[in-house]
Amino acid sequence: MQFNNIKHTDADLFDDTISSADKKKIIENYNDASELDLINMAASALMPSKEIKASNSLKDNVMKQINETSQTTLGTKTGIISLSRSTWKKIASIAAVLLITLAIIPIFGPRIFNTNAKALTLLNTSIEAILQVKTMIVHFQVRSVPGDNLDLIDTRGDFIDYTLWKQFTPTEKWRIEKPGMTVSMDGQKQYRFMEKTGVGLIGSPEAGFVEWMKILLEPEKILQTEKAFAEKHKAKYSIEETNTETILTIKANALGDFKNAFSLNKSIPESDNRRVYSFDKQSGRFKSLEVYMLENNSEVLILKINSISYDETIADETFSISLTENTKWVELKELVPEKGDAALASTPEEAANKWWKALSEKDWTTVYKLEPTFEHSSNLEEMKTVYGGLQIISIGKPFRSGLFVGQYVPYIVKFKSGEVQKHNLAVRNDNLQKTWVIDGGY
Amino acid sequence: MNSSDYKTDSAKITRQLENLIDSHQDKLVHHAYFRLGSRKDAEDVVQDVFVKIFGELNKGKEIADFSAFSFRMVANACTDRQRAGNRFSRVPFETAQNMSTQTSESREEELIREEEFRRINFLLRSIPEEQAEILRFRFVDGLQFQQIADILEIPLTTAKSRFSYGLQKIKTQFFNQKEASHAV
Repeated sequence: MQFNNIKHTDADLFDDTISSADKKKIIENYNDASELDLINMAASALMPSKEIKASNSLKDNVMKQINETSQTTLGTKTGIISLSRSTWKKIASIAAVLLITLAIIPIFGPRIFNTNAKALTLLNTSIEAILQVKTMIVHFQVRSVPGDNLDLIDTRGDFIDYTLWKQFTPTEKWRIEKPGMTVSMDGQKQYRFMEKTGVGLIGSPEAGFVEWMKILLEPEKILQTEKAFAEKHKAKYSIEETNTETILTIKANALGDFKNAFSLNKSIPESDNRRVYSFDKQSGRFKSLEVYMLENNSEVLILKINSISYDETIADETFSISLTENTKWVELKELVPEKGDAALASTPEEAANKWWKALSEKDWTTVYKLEPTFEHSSNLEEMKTVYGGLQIISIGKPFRSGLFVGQYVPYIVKFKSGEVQKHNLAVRNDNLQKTWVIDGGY
Repeated sequence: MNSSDYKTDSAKITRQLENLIDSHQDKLVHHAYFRLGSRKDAEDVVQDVFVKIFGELNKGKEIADFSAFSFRMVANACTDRQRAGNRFSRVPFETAQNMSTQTSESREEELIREEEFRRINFLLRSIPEEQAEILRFRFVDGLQFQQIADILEIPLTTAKSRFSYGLQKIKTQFFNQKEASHAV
C-alpha cells in the first residue's frame, strides 16, 4: 500500500473546526480501517507526551537583557533596542534633561562624572544627528583577505577596499562589500555571495553574515554598544573633546579561548585592539573610525574609514546582489544536515577523516553531505578536479581557538597537481542533529 | 512629548511585554525545544525573540496577532540557529548571556523528552520541510490549521494540503514498517 491517492480529508480529521458528525462521515468513507489505524499511529508518534515549560528564569532574563542593553545613561533605563526614530527622539529629550541633572549632582566624583556627562552628550547628539539622516555611504579599508568573511582580519595583508551603503528610511536596508564578498539586507532577507565559491546564501534579516562590523550599520548606537561591551568585558573607554570633534576610544582585550592562538587576531574581537571613533561635535554625525591591533608590542592599523557621506541617493538595486554566471541562491535552511546519515560525523576527528577520505576517493555524495555548499559551487567541476583524488599526508588533533563555535582540525594534504597544503579544517556541530560538518579551511 | 510621557509609554510597553511573556513563553519554548533538541538553546532563542519583540513594540509596531507573530519569529530564529555552511563564521560578537534553567525535571523525564524529540524529528525529517513544519505546528504545538496558515502566511487550503501530503508519507512509512515486521 502506497496511499498514492492523497486524501485531503486526512487534514479534516485533525481540523477542530469540523464537527464530530462530519468527521464521522469522513471516517465512514475510509474503505480500509487499517488506514485509519496508520493515521492514528502517525499522529500519536508525532505528539509529545508532555509540554515543555519555560524555565522560571526566562521572563527575568528577558527583562534583564532589555534593561542591560538599554542602560545608556547614568542610572537611567531608557529601553533602547531597535528603537524607531521617533522613540530615539524621546530618548534624546530625556537625555538632555538628565544632562542638566548630572551637571548639578556629580554623584560619582569629578572624573567619572565628566566621562559620563560627555557620553550623555555624545549619545544625545548622535541620536539627534541620525534622526535627520536618510542614507549613509561609508568607504573604508581593512587589512583583510579578499573573497573571505567580511570580518576576517589579516594583519600582514594589504588594505582592501570596503563599501557600506545604509538606507535608514523608509525601510531599513543595507549592503557591505569587499572584493569577492558581498552581504546585503533588502528589508526582508539577508544575502551573502562569495565569488570564489560562487555560492549565494539567503538567510533571515537576522542571519549572522556580518558580525562585529554590524556596529557600523547603526552609527547612532555606537556609544550604547561600545559602552555595554566595555562594561561586560571590562574594557576601557574614554571620551575626549576637541574644538570640532568628540572622540570615543575603546581599548579591549582579545575575547575567546587562546590556548591555541590560531584565531588570535583573525577578527577585531579576537584581538587586543584600540578602536577610535570620532563624531562631529556640532552635528553629532559619525565621522570616522580607526582600529588598531596590538601585535608583538606594537600597534598595527587594521581598519580606517576614508569617507562617510550622508543623504546621497542610493538606487534600490544596490540592496540586491547580482549573481555571476552559473550561480544560484541557496536558502540556509536547505543546508541543514540530515540525522542518521552514515556520512555524517559525531566527532571533529571523524568529520575531518571522512571529509579528506571522501575527497581522496571522489566520494562526492559524502562530500556534499559534510559540506553542503560544496555542491552548490559555481565552479563545481573545477573544485572536483582540484580536490578529487588528493593524498592525505596527515590529520592532527582538533583544537578550539578564539570565538569560533566549532573546532579546527590540522591537516596536510597533497593535491594531484603536486601542491601540498597545510592548514586547519574548520568544523562545527551547532546544528539540530549535533553532527560535525565542514565550515571551511580547505 | 516630555520625559514623563516617555516613561509612561515605556512602562506600558514593559507591562505589555511581561503579559505577553506570561501568556506565550511556554508554547514558544515548547516549539523551539522540538526544533532544536536543547532546552538551553530553546530558551536562548525565545529570550532573543522577546527582546526583539520589545524593540518592535518600542518602534510603535502594532502586532495584531501576537501568537502568529511570535511563533513566526521563533520558527525563523530556530532555522537560523540550525544553519550550517557559514564558512569561517564565528559566534555573535555579543554572545548571549548564560541563563539558568531552573526546572524541576527529573533525569527520567529528561530522557523521555529527549527520546520524544528524537522520534518526532526522525519522522519529520523524512518528509519535505514545508510539509514537516505544518505537521509540527499541528501535532507538536497543537495549533489549529488557521493559526498555522497565519504563521506561515499561506492560504488555509495550502496548509491543509501540505499536511495531508506529509501525513501520507508518514503513513506509508508506518505501513512499510508493519509489512516488514509481518514478513519477519
